[in-house]
Amino acid sequence: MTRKLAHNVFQLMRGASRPLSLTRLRREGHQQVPVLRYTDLEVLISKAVDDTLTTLGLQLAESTVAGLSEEARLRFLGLVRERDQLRETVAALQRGQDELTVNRDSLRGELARATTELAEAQQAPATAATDKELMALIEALGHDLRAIFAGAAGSDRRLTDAALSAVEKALTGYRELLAQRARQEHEAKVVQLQRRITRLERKLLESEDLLARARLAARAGSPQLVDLSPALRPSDEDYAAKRELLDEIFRLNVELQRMVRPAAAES
Amino acid sequence: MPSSSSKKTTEEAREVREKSGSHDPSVEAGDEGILHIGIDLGTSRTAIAASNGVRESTFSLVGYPRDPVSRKLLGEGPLFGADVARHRLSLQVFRPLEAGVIKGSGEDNGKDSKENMKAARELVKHAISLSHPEKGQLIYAVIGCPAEASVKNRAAIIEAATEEVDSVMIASEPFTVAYGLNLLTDTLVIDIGAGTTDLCRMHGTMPEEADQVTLNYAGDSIDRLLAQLIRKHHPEVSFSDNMVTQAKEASANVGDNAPRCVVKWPVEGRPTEIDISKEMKEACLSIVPPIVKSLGKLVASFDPEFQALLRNNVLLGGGGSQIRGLGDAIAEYMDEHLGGGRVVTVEEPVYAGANGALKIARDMPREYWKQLS
Repeated sequence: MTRKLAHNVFQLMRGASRPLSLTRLRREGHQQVPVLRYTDLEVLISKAVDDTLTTLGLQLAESTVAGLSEEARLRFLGLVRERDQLRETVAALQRGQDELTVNRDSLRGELARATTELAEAQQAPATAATDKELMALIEALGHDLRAIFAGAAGSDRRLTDAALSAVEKALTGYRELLAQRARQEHEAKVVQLQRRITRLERKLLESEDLLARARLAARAGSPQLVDLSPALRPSDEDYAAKRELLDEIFRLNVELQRMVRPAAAES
Repeated sequence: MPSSSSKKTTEEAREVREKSGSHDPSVEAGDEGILHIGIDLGTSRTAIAASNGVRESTFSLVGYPRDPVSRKLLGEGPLFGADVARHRLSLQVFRPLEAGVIKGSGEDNGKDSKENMKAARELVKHAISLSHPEKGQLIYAVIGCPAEASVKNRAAIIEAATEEVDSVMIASEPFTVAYGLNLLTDTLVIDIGAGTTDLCRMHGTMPEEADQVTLNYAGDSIDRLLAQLIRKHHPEVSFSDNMVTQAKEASANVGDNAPRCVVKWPVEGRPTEIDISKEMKEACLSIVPPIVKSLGKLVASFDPEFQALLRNNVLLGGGGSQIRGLGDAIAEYMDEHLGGGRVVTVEEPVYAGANGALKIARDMPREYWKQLS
């Protein structure tokens, strides 16, 4: 056993242990507490390996036994370290979740603004400023054209009206086109924001689940990532998403078996 | 594709099961009448997880007695897994899977492909028998196959299983791992098998072609390189491929504080201790750069907003993930070449694929199973 390893055990165990004050221990009625030296712990791990090998009747070379003891000690250190890493994971997940929440809230604000803009856009045929400018342009153009036609030799009133009407029609069409484009832009923006919100909300749910499991794992001191839950039920939060995946797997298998069966029938 | 004789075998098998009361398709079974099974049909190992709680694994080896003497000693039937390794000299040995698919199930339809198909069928049958189905239970199975397995490869797996189960579905292996662990979004799964390493990007929907990569840098390639390096540095030592694989499975470690890897192999007939630590580390680390390169491609083509999330959520599974320190080595290489990353190794590398396949089997609506039966 190396000094470095004993030091590692000491550091890691201290990091993984729960500090309790002497006052609290006394208050809880403890007069004496058992003390275990970290070096004893190492010796115990080593002895456990030796005993196990003896019990199993395995006659291994000394170097192999030494290797196994070393491996067991390293594994022990690894497990303690894993526990620390899990705590870090919990903290990182918590940070990630906070970021997702902030992101979701800001997106919700953005969505609310975009929805209002869309409603306004649907009520008004074009944005007010553009519309006002266009109306002024049509009016000015009409006025100028009337003046030009009135001053022209042999001007025909009907021809003037027809020309003015054509210009007005073209500008009105353009005005409607602009309004339609503005509406489409707003609608696309709203749809995009709604999609992002849905995605972020799903991520938030997942991160909450992951966080809960990581917290459980950190408490238990070992990773508990294997999900032993019962089969999927419609009441499950992720039912829709998983059902979609299962539907897709089924569809792909139906296609595959369609390809397999005719070939099987032929042979 | 099944021949008329294999059809006959199917009918015979069903007849035997019905006679023994083990199967009555006319009986509408409740959930208690169904055995869901998840199978990870791997190049090196086949793992099975069943809804009755049984979990077993076996080497993907099938052996048939070579001659009358062997038959007298070992019996008529095929042997599987460790028994094949033990009696390999008396057996005609088949490792029916290569790169995660049934050998020869691509284009070739020669004698070898037929023999491998037969061996694969026997292997699936054996794997299912390990789950101890009860009499009268319907068997619904999901089998994992490599991410980029061709339609023909997938069809061959279905064909191998059809005779033994009432309904079967195929799912991509890395997907089954992720489904089993409920990590369906923003996760990168690395499934290191013997024949292939499968990478899969999970983003909440079914992974498409662009989300998956299959590499040939896996357990077998490590073994090949390891043998090559040992031969180069210790030319006096005699060893077989099997000994190299055993040494890797017993002591592969790429950690900084890895214990020495010493084997006792013959030198001119005399068992001699040889230190192969350096060769072991070099061979095991050889798969890291191509894996990280492919990871980089999958990350780079993902939604930029979620790339960091993906990079920090890498899940390492498959038999290869049992190489101690490999997760850290991948994370380190990601740090150098992708600007960071976090790798978590699955808790049960041998069973993660089978567990996930079982979860899919249990979650799959019953009417879907009926339609495919």
